[in-house]
Amino acid sequence: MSRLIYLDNAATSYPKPKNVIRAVNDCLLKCGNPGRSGHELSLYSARAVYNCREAICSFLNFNHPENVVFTYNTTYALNMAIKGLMDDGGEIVISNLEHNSVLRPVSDLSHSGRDISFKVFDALGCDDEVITNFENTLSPETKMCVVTMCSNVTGKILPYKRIGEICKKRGIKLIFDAAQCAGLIPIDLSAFYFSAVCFAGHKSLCGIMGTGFCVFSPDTEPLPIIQGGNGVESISQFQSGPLPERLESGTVGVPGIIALHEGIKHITSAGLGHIGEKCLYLESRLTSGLLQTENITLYGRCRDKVSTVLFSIGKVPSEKVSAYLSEKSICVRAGLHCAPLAHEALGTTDTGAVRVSISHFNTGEDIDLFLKEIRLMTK
Amino acid sequence: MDTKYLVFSSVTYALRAMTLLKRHGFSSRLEKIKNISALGGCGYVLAVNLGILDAAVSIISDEGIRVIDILDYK
Repeated sequence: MSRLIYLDNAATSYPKPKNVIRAVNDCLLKCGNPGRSGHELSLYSARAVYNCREAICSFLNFNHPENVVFTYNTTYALNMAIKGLMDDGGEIVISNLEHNSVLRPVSDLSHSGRDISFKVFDALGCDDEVITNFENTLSPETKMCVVTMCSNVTGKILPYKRIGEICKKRGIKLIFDAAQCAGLIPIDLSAFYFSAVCFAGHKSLCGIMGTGFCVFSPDTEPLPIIQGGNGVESISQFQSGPLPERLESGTVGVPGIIALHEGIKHITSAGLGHIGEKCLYLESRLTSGLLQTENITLYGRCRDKVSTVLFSIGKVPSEKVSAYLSEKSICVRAGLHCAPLAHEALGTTDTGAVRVSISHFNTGEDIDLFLKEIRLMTK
Repeated sequence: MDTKYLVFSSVTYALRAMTLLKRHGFSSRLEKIKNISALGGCGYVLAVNLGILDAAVSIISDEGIRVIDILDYK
């Protein structure tokens, strides 16, 4: 078997840093249930969970660790933010680059009998076009916008700060999906308006699968979408209390949270700027190679993006390309990437497309070997 | 009694207060509350030395963290 070339980091990052792996093992040896008991294993765990909230705040330039709510993935975080912040009545605006983790909860709300509807704006163009489309889609009925900061399909970074300014002026709640860019670009939560920002712990933040979190603005009061034990006001049959426990029912994923903390340490140590530069260099090398290859169509090329590339080979179904590459031990993601509106806009719904997503663990040799296999396939 | 117990609404707030105190050079200890009726259920307290009580409460309150109660016994 040839050596593994992993180019599916937008799904989950691989490999995990060694300190992350060690920390998970350590956690299983040392941690009890946090925020429940008074013995040392429980207290150790509670401190570890809190320390991760602090690390996230430091990484994102945010000053409210109690507003960092841990979840099991970005999907859960987005559901929590959307359903926990949306009032009855009104309109939600989303982009056509949204993942099903946004489209489905929003569609669900629009069928909930709560007088909620939703509209979609086109976010494929340049920044000015995106902003024009966005503003033209808003109406006096718009109560919430849910927008990805970075497309999981094309890697395009949306003008999220400008979107924030517009929502702030109009008093519209704004939720961002940051799953695809946290750990690749700097995110300064003090520099733009938001109601909630949702993150994956296991993608470019280098944690493990089953880890996500949502950061709520201090001026929000999200309602819980799941109720249960949270170590607060146990005598009450109703769930209230402060964040984050109000939204963290049941035992949180301590190994994942500790892994996430280690992932952030890894990124900080490697240097976010260095990681971003390396990934974009490799992305540029890949894109140049694909442009020189016959019968390749590249999608969603733009100036502001992360190291994700989407392409197809003629009319070949994307899953065929992915299966061929898998036989060569090259891991990519084909299909619709759980983002049907984006593929509809790109015209790739029938065949899907092949997504290559690069991490700082990849090398130039990885890219060259990938291109070599693509050229063999297109001959 | 040379120890006082600061009661918070959750373990997260207790730990945030503990971190703040540490930054100001004050030590404190996280413990599970034994008097559950004080909180209407389970909860955590920070044990602080009586000598730093006023300063500790001031530091914590200045950051917008509410000290729900101050107990002689946890």
